[in-house]
Amino acid sequence: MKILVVEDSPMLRRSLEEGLRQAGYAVDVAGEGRDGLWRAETGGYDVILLDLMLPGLDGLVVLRELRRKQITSRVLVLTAKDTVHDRVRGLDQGADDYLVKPFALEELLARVRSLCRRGYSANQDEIQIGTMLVQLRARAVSIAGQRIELARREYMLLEYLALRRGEIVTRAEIEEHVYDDRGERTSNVVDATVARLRRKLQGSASDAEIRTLRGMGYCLDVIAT
Amino acid sequence: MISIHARLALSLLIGSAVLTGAGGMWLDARVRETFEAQHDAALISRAWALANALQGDDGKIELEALHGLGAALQASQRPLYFQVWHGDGSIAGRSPTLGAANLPRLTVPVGSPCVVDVALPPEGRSGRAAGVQMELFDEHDETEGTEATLDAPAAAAVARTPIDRLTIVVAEDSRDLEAAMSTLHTSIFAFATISFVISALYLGWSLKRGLAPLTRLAESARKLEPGSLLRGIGHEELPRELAPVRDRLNELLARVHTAFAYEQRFTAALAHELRTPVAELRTCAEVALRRDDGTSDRRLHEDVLAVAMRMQGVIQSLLALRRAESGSVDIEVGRVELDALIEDVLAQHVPAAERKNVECVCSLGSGTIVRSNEELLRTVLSNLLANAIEYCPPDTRVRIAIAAAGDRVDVAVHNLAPALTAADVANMFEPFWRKDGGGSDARHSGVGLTLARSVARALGCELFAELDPRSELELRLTGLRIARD
Repeated sequence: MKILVVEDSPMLRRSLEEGLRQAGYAVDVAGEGRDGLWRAETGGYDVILLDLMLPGLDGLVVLRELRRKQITSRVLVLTAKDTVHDRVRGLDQGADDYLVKPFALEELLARVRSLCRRGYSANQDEIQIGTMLVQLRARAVSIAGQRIELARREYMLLEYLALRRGEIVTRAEIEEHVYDDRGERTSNVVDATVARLRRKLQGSASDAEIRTLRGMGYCLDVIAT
Repeated sequence: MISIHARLALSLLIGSAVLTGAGGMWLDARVRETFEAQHDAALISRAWALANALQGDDGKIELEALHGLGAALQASQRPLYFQVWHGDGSIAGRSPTLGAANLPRLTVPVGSPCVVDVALPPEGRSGRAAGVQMELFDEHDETEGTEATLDAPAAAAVARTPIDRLTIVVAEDSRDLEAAMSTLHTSIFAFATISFVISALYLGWSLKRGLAPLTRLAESARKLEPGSLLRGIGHEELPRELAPVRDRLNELLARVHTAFAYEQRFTAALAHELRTPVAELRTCAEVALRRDDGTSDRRLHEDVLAVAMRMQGVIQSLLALRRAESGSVDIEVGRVELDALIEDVLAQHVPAAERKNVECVCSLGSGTIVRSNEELLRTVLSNLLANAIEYCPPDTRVRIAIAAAGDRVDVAVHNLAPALTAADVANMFEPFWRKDGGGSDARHSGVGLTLARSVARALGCELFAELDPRSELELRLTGLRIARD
């Protein structure tokens, strides 16, 4: 999952970036409104953490513009404004959730997870595909009760495919949702990660497989018998 | 505490009752006195008429005339009583109405009739008796005795020896007088009571009407809510006595409203201003705790220190602002060399200006010395300069100008501010106001210009902001007094 943090406080921005990365998200950051809007329009983010009081362009204006341009990223407003009027205004402008500063990082991560699930119509913290169980909150994958070790990118890619189980997911979509500005987006990075994931799934005798649909993308589902 | 209405009503009613009572009593006494005087005068006239009728042509007493005359002198249906004594105390005669009874013999000086209350026979009814004394003279004397007797002063002047001194007492039943007086008492009492009741009713109505504006004002004040102070009180027309009170109260209420609104804005802004550093601190600590590589210590400490410094800056600025606004700043005024002070302040801001390639220009050398507090003046100028350097576009110029006029000198700081509008200028001195809406500027407390203006006022100066059509902002400190030797 890929998150955009638009926050003008450098320290908070840095902490959020690090905290979200620790939690396994791909994270991009912006320090002011115009940059944030541009990134949000072009980055294909699953969730945007948006401060309201931003230099350059006010957070509410950014939010309105995103909705006007039909950007469907989930928006979690992060702000020091805590009145009911402020909350209502933020939600009316198209925010999906609202969190007042200061907040607990744990709560922020829970809300981000919830927004990610909502983006893919998943209502629970676990996705079961045949014998494979993806635990979103624990960020763990097990097959027939046996946990398999996955690298961070491998988990993120598998989670994204699991959230879109049965759908064809293009390479571009995977790049957008799994890799941030820090990630090295070489031409075959997605293919290489998919190949490693396949080996690990096959090694664990999983009945779920990642199929390649030539010229279209990848699809995760139970092996057809 | 008893109401003004009740207090006034009570005192006016007591006053009215006392006045009505005293007036009634005075009137009663005067009328009674007049009635009695008229009654007594009539009785004395009858006594004199009787005395005159007693003296015959030869100077002797003609008692036979008494009976007929007594009937003629009787003024009403009630009987007339009279009795005559010789000078030696023997009874010369009495009216038939007395029968065998006597009237009291009054001791009457010659020429001075007297009137007393008596008990009349036979039942001892109350009556009124008038007594006169008449002197009888020998008819062969040169002077007419009767005339001398009738004219008391003249008689006193004539030195003749009387042959007898008659005492005549005429009495009459006084029931008519008593009845008239009783009617008079009742009438006066009834009149006083009715007057008092009418006065009380009128007073009640008058007080209610007179105090109605005060009541309406009180009601208007009672309905006032903390959120509606600006609405004020007493919007209807008020009497001249209350209008200044209402106007002054409304003026004070408006000031209270402004102070409330300011405090609310200030508190909200302060809470907001502190939320972000607290969020920074908390998130920073939580992220550090989640690190598993053991490398977090130094960076965490640096971040925590930076947040603490920022919060300290906010608190120090707020304390300074509070001190300046409450007037509790110690101000020791002395001679301050303005050029040297500006040069010193400029030097402090050179690094910030260089980072933005901003040129600071100031034409010094005027040698102006002002009477002020150097540290506080430095605070004002430093804030003005910091604001100009921070918010002017890069590669532009900040200009400091000194202008003296009479015994005053102004210091103005100019910088380009293309993002500002005229409406923004009005908000510049509001605490925590930022043009761009950013709420997490770690470099500033957000109260710099607010503090500068409060300190300027504490120094007896004023701080103005003006934006010209070329988007050049001028922050002008006025009212600095030039020091004379």
